[in-house]
Amino acid sequence: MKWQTFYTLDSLLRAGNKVAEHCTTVSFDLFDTLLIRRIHDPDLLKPATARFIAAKAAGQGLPWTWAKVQKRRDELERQQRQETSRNYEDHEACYPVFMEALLREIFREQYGAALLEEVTTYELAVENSMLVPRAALVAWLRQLRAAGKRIFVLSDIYLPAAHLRRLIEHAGFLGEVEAVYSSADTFLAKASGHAFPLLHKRHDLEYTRWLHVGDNPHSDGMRPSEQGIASLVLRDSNEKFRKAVVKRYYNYGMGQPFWKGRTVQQMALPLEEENREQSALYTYGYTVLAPLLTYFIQGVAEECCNARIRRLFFFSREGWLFERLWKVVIPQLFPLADLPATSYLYVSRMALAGASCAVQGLTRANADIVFLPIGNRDFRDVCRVFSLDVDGFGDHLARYTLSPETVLSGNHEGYEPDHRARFNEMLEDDRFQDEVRRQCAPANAALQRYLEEQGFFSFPEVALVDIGWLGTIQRFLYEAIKHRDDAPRCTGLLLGATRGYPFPTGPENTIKGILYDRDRFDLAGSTLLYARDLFEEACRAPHPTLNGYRLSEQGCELIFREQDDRVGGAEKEQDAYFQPLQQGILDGASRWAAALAVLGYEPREQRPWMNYLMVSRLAFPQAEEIRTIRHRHHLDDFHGRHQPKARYVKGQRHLWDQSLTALRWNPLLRLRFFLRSIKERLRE
Amino acid sequence: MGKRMMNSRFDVATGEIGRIARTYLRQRWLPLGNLGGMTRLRELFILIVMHRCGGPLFRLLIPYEHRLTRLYLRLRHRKK
Repeated sequence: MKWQTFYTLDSLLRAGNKVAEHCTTVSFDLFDTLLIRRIHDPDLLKPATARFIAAKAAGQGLPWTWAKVQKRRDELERQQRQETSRNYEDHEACYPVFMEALLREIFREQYGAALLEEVTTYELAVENSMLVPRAALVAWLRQLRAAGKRIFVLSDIYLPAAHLRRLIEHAGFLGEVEAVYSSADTFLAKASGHAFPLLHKRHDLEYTRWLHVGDNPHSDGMRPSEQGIASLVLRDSNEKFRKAVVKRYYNYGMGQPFWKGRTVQQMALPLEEENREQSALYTYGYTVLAPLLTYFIQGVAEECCNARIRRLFFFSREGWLFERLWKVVIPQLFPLADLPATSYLYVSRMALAGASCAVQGLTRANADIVFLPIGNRDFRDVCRVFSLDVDGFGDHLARYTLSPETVLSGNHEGYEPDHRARFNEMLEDDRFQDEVRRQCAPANAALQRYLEEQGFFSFPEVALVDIGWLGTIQRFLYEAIKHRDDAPRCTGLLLGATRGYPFPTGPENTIKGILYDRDRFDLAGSTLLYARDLFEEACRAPHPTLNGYRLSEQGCELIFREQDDRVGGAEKEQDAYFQPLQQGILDGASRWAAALAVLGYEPREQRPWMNYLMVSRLAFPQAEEIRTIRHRHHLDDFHGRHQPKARYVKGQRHLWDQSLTALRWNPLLRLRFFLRSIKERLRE
Repeated sequence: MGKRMMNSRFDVATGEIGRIARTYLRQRWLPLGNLGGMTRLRELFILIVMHRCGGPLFRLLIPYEHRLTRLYLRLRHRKK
């Protein structure tokens, strides 16, 4: 009986349904039939396990590089195949046998049975991350099972049936399969034809009422048909096309680092049933923000490893998404690394500003920060930001002929340099500073209590992860605690460090930008500045901002902003609007990390692609993208509501603030803003 | 509701290869930053053709896959 070959899945299913009507048994090949791989070459999954073993060996002081581990694995597998070829027609190998031999050789006296299981679990997890059930075939399998057919899975592979069952269980159709057979258990493969008589004997199957489906013309076509089994071979042109695309990106990535990122993106894209219709926001989160934020999280982990930091805090509210990304990404990228314990810290500029003044008072540097947002104008804004009661400063202001409404910012009408000079003199007044300290003391005490409850002071060094941009939260936090003997060294790791205002860097307090840092001249990375609000809104937690801390009998109480006003309602609307974006980021990050774990690309190898994403999506975005992504409401309690002079307002408008008409029809608009950006970077 | 994230040409639905091409043309005369040398025109051209025409081409040629592979290997061997 000659086997039939089909070049599309639909044609195979049509023919298969007809043939299956007369069959009681249907057997399937597993890989490239029921399950397809995201990557074109299954051998490319092995280095991930080699890296895992090498990392484990390094942890025990054994000098094995991953390349050496992989080479030795291949040698041992080859040796086993040669040994089995002496007694069997098929040159098969069995994973637990050669893997145990490899691990015993590497770890010697330190080898234990649990190690083999650990390595096996890791390898199967990597396989599972790359395997996708072929939706139409699995659905057909289920239909056949429901129609009473006996379903078997046969595979010629070095993984034993027990491992294949774990893969099939992960794919979700193990319940429909009567038995799984692997050539690794019996050394009888489909390639020689010996696998079919084995099944025939064990399960009392009739050859004439047996249908086999696979992808290999020899093992799944010729060999079963020699036994009289009806065989259908699928040589799916679409699947070949897909793999050819991945292969080409992978091969180009070997020569040009730029394509490495594109290869990861291609492997991270959804396949089969995963590839559902999604909103533009979800797709943007998945394809643009997920790689950028995964790169950031990977960079944070590497910094912590290098500096041997044992404790990491994610600052609210953007740290909410960072923490969730950490939990998704890090187990895949750093399965063995000794990484810090993490937690989420409820902080904000408004909550910490006042607490930072309790010991040092209101410094000139901190007062100047208040006037960076152009909406802040006078001493009332200073009191709002630092949670001070303006009524307590009446006498002090009068001494320097100031009032709460005296304009202290050059951005506003009515400003005179003399106002600021007198204000600065007042900052030097000990009586003024005593009043500041007195008012800020309760906030500082509550903050100390909160940090103690969070274990902040239990480690000599802590990593603080925040979105950026000036590092103001870390500045205020450090100033609030630096008087303590047990204050830890604070290492700030920011998504973007714009350094637009001098940060009080010292041995005990540093910040570093991972995706962008102004101290490293990075033209592409600086495009992050085009849409800072986008990143803030995308990463923000769905809870309101923190206004302050309060001591109570139970300890420290967190005071959140009320959300029943217009601004709070707008923020809730924004959160709901961006929910698909955040889901896209989390889903995309998981797949991106899985692809990275297989390919083993380091952050520096991904950097060109990250730069491309930032330049193409932030500096040269499509009008439709901006329309979809641009925030509708952006809350910033730090910013005042005074109207500055018109010329300062005009200077605040950036590309992402332009009208849709201008974005659609002005061909030079993006170029003009990009050239302006280059000029600003060079001036810095 | 929306679009599938990967289109039938196995490119991102938003047209990543076209975007890469436009960025390539831009970076020929405008400094865009470190793009790792980006790409060569030949590679870009092949990928554009692959994404655009690969589907019908593979459908046409897949029945002759083994013969074409043998021919390709023979030509490569001859070239060496």
